[in-house]
Amino acid sequence: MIGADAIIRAIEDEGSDIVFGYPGGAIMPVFDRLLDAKFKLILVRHEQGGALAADGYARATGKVGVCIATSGPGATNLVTGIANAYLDSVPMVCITGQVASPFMGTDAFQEVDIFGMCLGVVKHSFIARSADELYSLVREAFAIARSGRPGPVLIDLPKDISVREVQKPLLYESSRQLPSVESREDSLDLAEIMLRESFRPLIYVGGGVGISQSVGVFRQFVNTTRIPVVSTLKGLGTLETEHPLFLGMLGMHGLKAANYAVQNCDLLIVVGARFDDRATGKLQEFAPHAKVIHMDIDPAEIGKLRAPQVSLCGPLVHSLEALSMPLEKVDWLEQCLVWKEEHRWNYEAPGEGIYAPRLLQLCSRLVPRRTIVTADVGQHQMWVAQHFALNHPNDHLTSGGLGTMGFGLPAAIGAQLGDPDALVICVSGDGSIMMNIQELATLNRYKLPVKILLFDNQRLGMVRQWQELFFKERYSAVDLSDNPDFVAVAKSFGIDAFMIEDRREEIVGIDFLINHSGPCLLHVKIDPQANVWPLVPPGASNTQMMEDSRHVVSR
Amino acid sequence: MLFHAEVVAKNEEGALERILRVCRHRGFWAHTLHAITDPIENRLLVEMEGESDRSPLLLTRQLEKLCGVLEVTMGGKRREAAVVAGEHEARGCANQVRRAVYASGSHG
Repeated sequence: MIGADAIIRAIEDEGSDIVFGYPGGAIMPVFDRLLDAKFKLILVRHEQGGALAADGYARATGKVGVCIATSGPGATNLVTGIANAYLDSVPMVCITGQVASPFMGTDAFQEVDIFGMCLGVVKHSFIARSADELYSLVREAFAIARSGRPGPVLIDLPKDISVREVQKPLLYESSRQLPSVESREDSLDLAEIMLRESFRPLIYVGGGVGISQSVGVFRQFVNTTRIPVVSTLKGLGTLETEHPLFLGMLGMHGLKAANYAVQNCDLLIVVGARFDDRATGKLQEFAPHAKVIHMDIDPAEIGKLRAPQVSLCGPLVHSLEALSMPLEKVDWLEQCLVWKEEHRWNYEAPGEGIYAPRLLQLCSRLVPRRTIVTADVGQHQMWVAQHFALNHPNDHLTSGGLGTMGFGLPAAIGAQLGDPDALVICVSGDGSIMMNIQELATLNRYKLPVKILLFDNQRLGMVRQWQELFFKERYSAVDLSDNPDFVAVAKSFGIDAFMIEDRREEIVGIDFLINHSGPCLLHVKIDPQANVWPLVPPGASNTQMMEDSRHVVSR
Repeated sequence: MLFHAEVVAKNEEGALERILRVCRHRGFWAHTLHAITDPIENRLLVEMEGESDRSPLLLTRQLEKLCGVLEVTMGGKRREAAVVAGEHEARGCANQVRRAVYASGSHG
């Protein structure tokens, strides 16, 4: 047995069924042994696609995603995907080939210090120095990736280590103290008093509930306390979109009802969220009347941006169960529901063209319950967040922290492989799709029935919107009117495709998208002038929501 | 605001880099740095002084997040470097590194 065999065995023993990879010189010994592995190797067409597919797989399944690449450019191509996982707390193990140990530090062919480059975007990282340690090192990487607040772990593997004979038996016993924090009883007592004494409590939920697989307990907490809920982008689906206590997403592109509730609450219960600037707007004016109870697994998030009156650091399940109690805040709840009714979406838009929010809302009403929607980054990402009804956070895969254009398609590939029975829809834009369009070849190769809903405004829409609103309509580098023919592109990859541009074609398009038997692409041409509303300008308070009178989106 | 930090970490590959990177990235500027290793206990001890506009608690919590970090003491009374070094030398530590890090003038 050589080092490469030990790596394969460790991945097998972790129960992984799929890894994503792209071969090259320094990682060839591992790819040789992958031929005999018990798990499936998915060959992507770019290492970034591999990392983002592993990310999508991990988000959809709750398992650790695995990706493998070679040294040098293979490793650097992984970096965006690793950073994406780090910013969104996704468990991943990323293995990079490295030049042989004697050549490290000599600027050898395809050598980069990927260990050094990734220090700021990994939860932890290793350079393998011995074949005998490889098995336990990989197992340790998995344990670190999934423990506490999850994240990516990098293993840099010099070629000589991967071919060296393993002399010792393959044993793993973690020597690492993984942090274990429990909320203190007196903090729970104080939180309970604050809950009882508050008049206007509000729950602000983030991605942490879904990541920690605490959705059931969270919903029980909400249904018992009857406290209304607002959500971050990554928290969407934690409470079903249609739930009467759900007020919507808060923040920059949040619903007015959600932002009004935050600004008027007197107690904010923060559950697995981190006061991200897209959620809070001007931090000093965020929830100005509220005391804060902050629940999170990561002590570093407590008080990082807003000092709570009570911190409940530890597993969310423990805190949520301890604080589940019936509360009667009827007046406040009624006020929130009035805001929700007053500011619900209006899907009527002028003209004959397709109005993306309406199409998404229609689509989400017609898809089967087990549907996973992945989003790229830009205007369409916000429209998905606003208008696509969700039943679970694992059904909505979006690049929240890093905002990685090109995330949608590879993430959909990972999600479809992780959940073959789900309907997986990738919602993308004409800017984002081009970032990883080579992965259409991966869709075709593995016949993955991913559906791509491509909104095309021939612009980098979100940047164009900001230039219109905040840069005096000086449009710089946002014109994509020379886009390729996306239908022809998809067909050239062996993927069926169809274009619509008229409102009367909406149902036909959605029917094609949902019911096509294999992978397909629906190319939807939309108005280049369409913007995402409402919008809190950068640096402004969440009460300062802009709207455009040309497109009435709320009333 | 001046700060003084002592960090004890497992002496793993990249441990010192991780600690210094977190300090820089989180807005803490080291003026002096003293680091020694303890091969018997497999420990790295880092002592640093510097300045920041941010709360030392932020740095403490970010350092504690690092996988190999075992203990962070912030704002404690500064011990003479020679005393710290002596303690570790008494435990058989030979790999002593001592150097000053001069902050650039631009950070204010």
